[in-house]
Amino acid sequence: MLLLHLLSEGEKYGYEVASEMASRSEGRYEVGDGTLYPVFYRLEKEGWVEPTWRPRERGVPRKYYRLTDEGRRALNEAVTEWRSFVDGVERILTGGGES
Amino acid sequence: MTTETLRLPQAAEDYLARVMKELPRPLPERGRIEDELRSHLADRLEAAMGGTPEQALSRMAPPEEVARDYLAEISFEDAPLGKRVGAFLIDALAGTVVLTPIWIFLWLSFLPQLDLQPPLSYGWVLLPLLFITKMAAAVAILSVVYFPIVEAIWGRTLGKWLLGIYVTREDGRAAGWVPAILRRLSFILEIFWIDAVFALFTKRRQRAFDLVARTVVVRER
Repeated sequence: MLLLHLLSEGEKYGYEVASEMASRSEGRYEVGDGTLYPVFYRLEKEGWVEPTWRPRERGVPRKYYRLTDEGRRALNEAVTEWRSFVDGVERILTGGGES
Repeated sequence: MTTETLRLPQAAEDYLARVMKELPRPLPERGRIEDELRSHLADRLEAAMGGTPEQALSRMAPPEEVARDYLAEISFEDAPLGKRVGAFLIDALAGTVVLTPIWIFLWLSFLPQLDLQPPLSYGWVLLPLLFITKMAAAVAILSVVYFPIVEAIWGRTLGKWLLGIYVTREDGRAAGWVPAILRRLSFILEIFWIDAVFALFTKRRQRAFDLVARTVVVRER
């Protein structure tokens, strides 16, 4: 879900996603060097992201990932589900007395 | 763009090679993984601005761990027993054929000295018997000089290659020398038949010495 969300802002490459993940979560989510790409591969097989290799001015080309329409739908679904989960947990933790 | 610009600093290429060494050679994802990792390493080095490649690499996960993470997402299908038996028979037969000139040579050079004259009428009985003993001898020799070596280097033997199966560690990493030798010990100790029966009952169709070596035989995709 987090990966899909980061990609919903636009096409990104692996290292970019990993470092954004780390900085936005203030270091709480450190993605291992070998864990990110296999997950992308799984998303790719689901048809949720689409990879493209793009050359850079110098050196090794980069693999960029783009969210597909199907991926966007999956993201919306996952976010809705997550919100309702958090909401449920929050209600239990904070109250319980209202009903 | 020349190929020179596509290479990373030597330290990073070495790191990449260490990851690739852990991935079985018959794995179809190797190319993709190598490209992704090279690109990732390039980004890592770029982000490390100013530092040496070695410093940037020291913050990378150990190569075995990266390989394991990649392999964890790849599904392996255990090889069916039929293919394994078939591969073994192919290897045994091929070994027998290759070694036959040596037997004939030895036979011809020692027979006159032994002064042995087998009656020709026994030929039909003797020949198949001879063939079986030669095959057993071939397997004994192959167990030491062939199976462990080719499985350590390529992950498979001729028979396995023809039937589309190969050996990996239980976690999917390439077998390597120690496991490749370990899993052949039952051949050398001549307890192969007992060892092989285990494959009928174990979950991942492992021989007893596969369990010891922590190896499995998987199907190529």
